[in-house]
Amino acid sequence: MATTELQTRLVETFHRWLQESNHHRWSPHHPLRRIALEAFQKMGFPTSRHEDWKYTSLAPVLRPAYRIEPPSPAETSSLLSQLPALESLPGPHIWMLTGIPVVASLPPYVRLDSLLYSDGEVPPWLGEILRPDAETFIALNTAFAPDVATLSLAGQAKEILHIAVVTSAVEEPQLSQPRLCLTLEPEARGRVLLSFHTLGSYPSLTNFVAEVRLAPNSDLELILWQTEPSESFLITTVGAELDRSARLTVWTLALGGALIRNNLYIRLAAPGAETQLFGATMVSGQQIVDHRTQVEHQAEQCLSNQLYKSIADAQATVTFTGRIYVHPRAQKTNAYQSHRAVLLSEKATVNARPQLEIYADDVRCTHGATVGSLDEDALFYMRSRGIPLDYARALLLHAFLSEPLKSLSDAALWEYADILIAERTHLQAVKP
Amino acid sequence: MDNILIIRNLRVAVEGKEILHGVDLEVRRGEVHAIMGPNGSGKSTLAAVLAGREGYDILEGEVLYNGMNLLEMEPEERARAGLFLAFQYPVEIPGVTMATFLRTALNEIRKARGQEPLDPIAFLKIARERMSWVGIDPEFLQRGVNESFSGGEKKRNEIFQLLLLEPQLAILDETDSGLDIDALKVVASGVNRMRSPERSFVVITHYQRLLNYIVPDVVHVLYDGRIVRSGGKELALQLEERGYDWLRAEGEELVLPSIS
Repeated sequence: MATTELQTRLVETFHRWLQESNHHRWSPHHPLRRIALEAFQKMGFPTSRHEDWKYTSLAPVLRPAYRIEPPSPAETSSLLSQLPALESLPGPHIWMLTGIPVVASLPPYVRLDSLLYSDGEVPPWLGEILRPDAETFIALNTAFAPDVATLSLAGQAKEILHIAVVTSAVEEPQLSQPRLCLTLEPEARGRVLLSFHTLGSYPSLTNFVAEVRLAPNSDLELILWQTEPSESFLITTVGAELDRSARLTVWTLALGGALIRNNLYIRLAAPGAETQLFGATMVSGQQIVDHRTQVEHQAEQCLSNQLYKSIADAQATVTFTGRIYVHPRAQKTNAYQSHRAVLLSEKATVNARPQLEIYADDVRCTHGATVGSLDEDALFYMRSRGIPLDYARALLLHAFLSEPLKSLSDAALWEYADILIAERTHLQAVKP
Repeated sequence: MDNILIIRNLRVAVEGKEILHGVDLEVRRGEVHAIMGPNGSGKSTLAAVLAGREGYDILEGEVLYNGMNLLEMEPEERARAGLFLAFQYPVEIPGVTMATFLRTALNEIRKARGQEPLDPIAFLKIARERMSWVGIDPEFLQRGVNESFSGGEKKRNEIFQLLLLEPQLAILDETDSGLDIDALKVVASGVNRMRSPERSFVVITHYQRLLNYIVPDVVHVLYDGRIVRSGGKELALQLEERGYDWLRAEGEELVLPSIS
């Protein structure tokens, strides 16, 4: 572990905050913050020797001289006037502006608490699903997040709750550490869209962390929308714990950004819990997208299913690491995982690592990882009917990549995802 | 009478192994030719080369289609010029709907013919009509191309595409294989509906059975990469009775001297 300049500056900043701050609420004096800082100091930033970062180098991410301070109230107000237009997405209900939650409008079934927004408290379970000592970026976020947005969903939500995570780097490079806690009450049904954006042309690193608790029989659909073309860095970590017969579905659409790392840690903690994880990724240029999923079957009769599809062009890299851990008591487990990738260039890279650890006997578990090029037979079949080659290719790529998103329950969002994928696969551009 | 297809001394190798040893064939406009032969005689290689599949090395010879050098044309150019191959193994393309696939194909071909493209409604009308001719449920238009189709449905789908795209020369590569007699009749009636003085067919088959329903003008026997015999429709019956073995003796006599 080499101590980077950024690490040194972070530790210095934390100690400065300790001296400057009062002792209220989520101040640097909060025991969890201090535990997190210690954990961060102990772990440091991982190098490529670290097993979890073998294929994704953080060197370019750690290089910029980020501003660590969150925006001041005055800066947040001025940011509000320059928010990006998110034309085809539903209007955001909540903005997370460089880590500061700002409410636009809240549907009646949602309760939001925040230190700055509603004078709230941090939830007592903060740091329990994602322990600060588990991973550097969790520790970092826990120590530095300027606020904790705590959302509670009750009842049967019809509309999508849209949370737009924006990092502003208009005047200098910016480190942003938004923190979210989300609870689904028993029997509740909710849909949450998390879209990621940047403002300004300086480099930014967004280190987003969310802890999610699903009460018995609740059902959450979570959509991670990472489509904005930018030179920014994004690390997301979502940790979820599912109680009895709870259901969690996550769709990740990763098309934009210089480097994206998505960590999904799902714990199926009580019988009958189910999770479905879907991912569609298309990268080109020098882009890097690294998905890491970990599904832990702690109880019997749980189901997990993962389908990720990726396309890598030019010199881009996609990595998928999928870990399934089945505890000895988790009998009658069903666990499926599939990562399928298409390489469009000889210099593009796909890394796929299924990691299965199964300690129960009565388990049905399948996994598969394929890397290939486009189906030559399908291309020939289409051409033999008069369809031009470039359009035949685009049709195949579009069909390949849109499959994991087909199950999106929101029709408008599915259509928009479909359009974005069509754009990225040049389907419209080459249409005869 | 003019020839739509002329094949002269076509020699083709796959992965360094010569499969076609010099095929000669002439097909006139409006004719139905059957090419019969045992497994491994090169029937499917001939079909693939005519449609433009990659992976085949042309060692010698030429193919003229409507006077054009067919072997220099891309597969999509051949299709737009009116050539159609009914695949022995139609390809499944999940996620690309039949409607998208066929409307694009038909409009590309219409463009090449100097016709206006069809809008989705006009397309659906004609597609539904032609589907009914071969007994395919119109609901299939919203499914992926050949996705989860049964063997018989795939073959009928090939004939449906033939009916829709209205080619000048259709090559049917073992369209009868794996079909029961009812499906065979449906396929044959689709083909017969399309027979006209302006349209030619090359029907490749292992068995004579299909030729009871699609009556050919000329029957050729492809044996060991050469056409060793041509005749009228009665040749097919002879092959049915006697198999291909009686040709082996003659074939070897014919073939061996020319190798040395």
